[in-house]
Amino acid sequence: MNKRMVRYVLSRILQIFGVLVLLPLFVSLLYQEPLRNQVSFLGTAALSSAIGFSLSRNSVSVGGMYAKEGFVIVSVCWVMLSFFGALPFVLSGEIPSIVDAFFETASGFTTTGASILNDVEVLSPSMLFWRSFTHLIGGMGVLVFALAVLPKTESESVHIMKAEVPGPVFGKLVSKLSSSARILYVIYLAMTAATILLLLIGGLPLFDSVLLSFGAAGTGGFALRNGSIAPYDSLYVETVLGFAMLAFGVNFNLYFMLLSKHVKEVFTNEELRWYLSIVAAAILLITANLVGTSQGLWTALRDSFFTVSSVVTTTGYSTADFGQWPLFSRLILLVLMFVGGMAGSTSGGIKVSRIAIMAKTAVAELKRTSYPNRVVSVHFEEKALDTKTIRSVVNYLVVYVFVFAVILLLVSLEMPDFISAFSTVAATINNIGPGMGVVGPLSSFSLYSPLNKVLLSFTMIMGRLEIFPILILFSPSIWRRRA
Amino acid sequence: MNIVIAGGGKVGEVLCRELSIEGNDIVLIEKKPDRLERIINKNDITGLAGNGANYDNLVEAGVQNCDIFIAVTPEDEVNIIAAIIAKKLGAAYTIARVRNPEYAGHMNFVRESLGISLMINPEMEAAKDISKVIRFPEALSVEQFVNGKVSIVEVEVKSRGRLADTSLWQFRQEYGDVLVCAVARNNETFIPSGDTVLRENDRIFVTGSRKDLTRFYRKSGYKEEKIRSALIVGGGRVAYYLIRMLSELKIELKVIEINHEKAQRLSEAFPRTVIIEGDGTDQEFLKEERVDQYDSVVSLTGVDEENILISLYAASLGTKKVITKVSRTDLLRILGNVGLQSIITPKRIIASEIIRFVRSLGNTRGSNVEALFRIADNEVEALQFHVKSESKVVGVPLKRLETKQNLLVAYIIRRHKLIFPSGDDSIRAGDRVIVVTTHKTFDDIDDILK
Repeated sequence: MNKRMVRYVLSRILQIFGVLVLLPLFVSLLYQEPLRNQVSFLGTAALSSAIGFSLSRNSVSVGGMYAKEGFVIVSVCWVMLSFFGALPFVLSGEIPSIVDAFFETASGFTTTGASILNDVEVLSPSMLFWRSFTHLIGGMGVLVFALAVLPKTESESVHIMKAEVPGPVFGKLVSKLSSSARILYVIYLAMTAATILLLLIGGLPLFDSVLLSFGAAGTGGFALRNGSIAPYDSLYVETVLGFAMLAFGVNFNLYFMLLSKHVKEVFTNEELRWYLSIVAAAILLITANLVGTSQGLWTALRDSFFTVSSVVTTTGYSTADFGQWPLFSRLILLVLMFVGGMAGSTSGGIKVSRIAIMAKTAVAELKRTSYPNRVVSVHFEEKALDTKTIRSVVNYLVVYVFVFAVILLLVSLEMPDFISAFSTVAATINNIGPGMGVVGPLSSFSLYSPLNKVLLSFTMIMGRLEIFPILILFSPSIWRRRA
Repeated sequence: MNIVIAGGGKVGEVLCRELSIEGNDIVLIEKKPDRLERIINKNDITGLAGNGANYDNLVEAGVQNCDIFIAVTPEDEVNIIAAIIAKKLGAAYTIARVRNPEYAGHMNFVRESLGISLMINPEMEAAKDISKVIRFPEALSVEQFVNGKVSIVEVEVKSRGRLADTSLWQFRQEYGDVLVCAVARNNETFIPSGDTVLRENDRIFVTGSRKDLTRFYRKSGYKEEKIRSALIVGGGRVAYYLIRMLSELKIELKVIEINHEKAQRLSEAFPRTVIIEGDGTDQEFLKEERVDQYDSVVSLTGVDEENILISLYAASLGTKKVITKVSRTDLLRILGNVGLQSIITPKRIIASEIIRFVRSLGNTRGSNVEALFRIADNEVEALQFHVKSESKVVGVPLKRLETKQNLLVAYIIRRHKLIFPSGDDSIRAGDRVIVVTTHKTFDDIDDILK
């Protein structure tokens, strides 16, 4: 592996991060917060840019960047930024423990939205802003952002983008990588702005609108009140956020196609159809289930729509405590947690396209078993899938299950019951946020030991980067000079 | 001697030429009449067109009365069958070329139970040579005598190095018990005398015991660090043997192979070795595979030109040891001295192997060739003789022997002791003697005399 290249790119990222962290500083000044908050943001900015500059000074972009380097850069970058992003919380004393702050920031960048705070409302506005802002950056990807703003990007940077943008296959929008990154970000920010605007029209304060939109855009789920969205108790807010979350769970390439007037392709897109069908089916089933248990139709529909859209996009906003729902509904939500949004969106989970490919592979296998001589090919998006893609999708599931099982075992040491332990891992690895049982939407992850908090932080990053980059980071062979 | 050769390919042709020059009577069996015609026109041999494994053809070629039967057709199976039939017909010795790794594993069994005297595998021999070069990184090539006690190593006189512009008298005083036994300078190879002065870019062949050579490396500035990693480009048969040999030496390996099936097979055979599928002639690809971080690069693709280019690229990156497989050695003559270090030619290796075997059988007058190495692009031979009492050289001090020009008695081995002979020493019966010469027809120690 080319360590100099890795160091060079990481140092550039730190410099960019140093600029980004100045944004909450302005919020802090605006709200005339105590000096300590401002110093902590300024200190973090100074520290990260200082380290960034000193690292990049002696190393130029030497040698090539290939798949290995791309993976290492992405995974180190996410761990590194989660650490630096935690510094303002620690320095300001609002989250005094570095482990807690690391968890919170990792949860922010990975757009999980799981929190260790029992009382969110004690945080000062700048900290709340920073917390939600990490959702916005993390949603589309830190490195995609870097690619969009860096003036010079080599063609080799495609390996970074491949490692960071979720989904089994990666396609550039336009021939230039930096333009692709810019287009993605422009669409992303425009949609965020639209959400903010809609919430403002609904009468929400600016601060709340901005932060809730950040959470929805990154499909993160950090709220600024205890009880998430429930305290607003507004059908309008829930509808806007519900549709916004669903919109951010769609592959961004589709929006680009829409903009470039390929409307027909968008609506015949197979993954989109799967996604919408899954959402619709889940809403209907849960509504029916809730109506059956003494709720009115409209309340049931309202709760089930919001919760399904929040869970399937792995956002984690909540209006109702779905932990109290009947088992059938809870299991559907649990399944949705694993499905996640579409590939190329800001959501987590296994991704709809993988689920679809796996389902089709299973059907193909069934055909092969009954007709051993028949030649069966798997089609997706009107194209026959090559064996390589199928293999990587299936193997991803295998690795996913293994990793899941190991983490579940480690977490089980501190959990009272199975559903809590299982949903903890499901909620973190799929970047959802709240789980069920003792980690349900109304409680937090604060009862875990520091060791498990670090483990879960890595689980979140692993889920966001789709497991392999982090596993590669821990495999000794990659660090060899000749690998 | 009467020799029958089946197969007139590259190796067959070399054998026809060299063995006929040495005075053997050769009959060549070759399938293609045109090819046969060409070889017969160029060499003093007879031949017949046909399948080398056919009973009638073998009888017609006179196998029943021949001393040696050599089967070097392209197919292993034909070679083995031909050798078996020849043996049953009454050939005294049989030699078969067998290249398939699947047969190579049971070489001894096949050889003993089928009565084939020598089974040679060019790719295996090439792999052995490569692994030797990697084990002794100081030298461009290495040949070993007397079970490895004495080696001949090839080194290049570097510009501004310590060896440049020293005469061999000085060399002798400086480095003690090692000997420069041949010098290759501008496509010309000669046996040096004490007055010879070494020049830049000379390739010199130094012989000595391993201990003395180590001292020579250290004092002359050739000492190299051990080779710990190797990048092999081309996953053919040579690579197959080489991977096994180098893995035993605990060398970190990476093999690049462009063909998917071949790469797959290699990875099945060597699950612990890193096998990469890709085009090894693509410099960008080699960069991705970190070619610059490897101690050695071995280019073994099937195309000579590609091998040469890969090696030149590796050499330009400062790779410590660059080894190139080249089949058509005339290419090298065109290129001249382009900085390729070690060159491996499987065809030549096996031709010398067979010739060594033939020569060792050819002793009629009291002493025989025990080992033979051809160095300096086949220009020089180093031979190890076992001297018997009937020999004319026994008991005469070396300075009084009237030897031919271009010849050097390098070592005498007497009862496991290595003697670095001076003019006063004399050869005794039972000694082993190593002679270095540009003459190529010696098969007896007496041949060194005028």
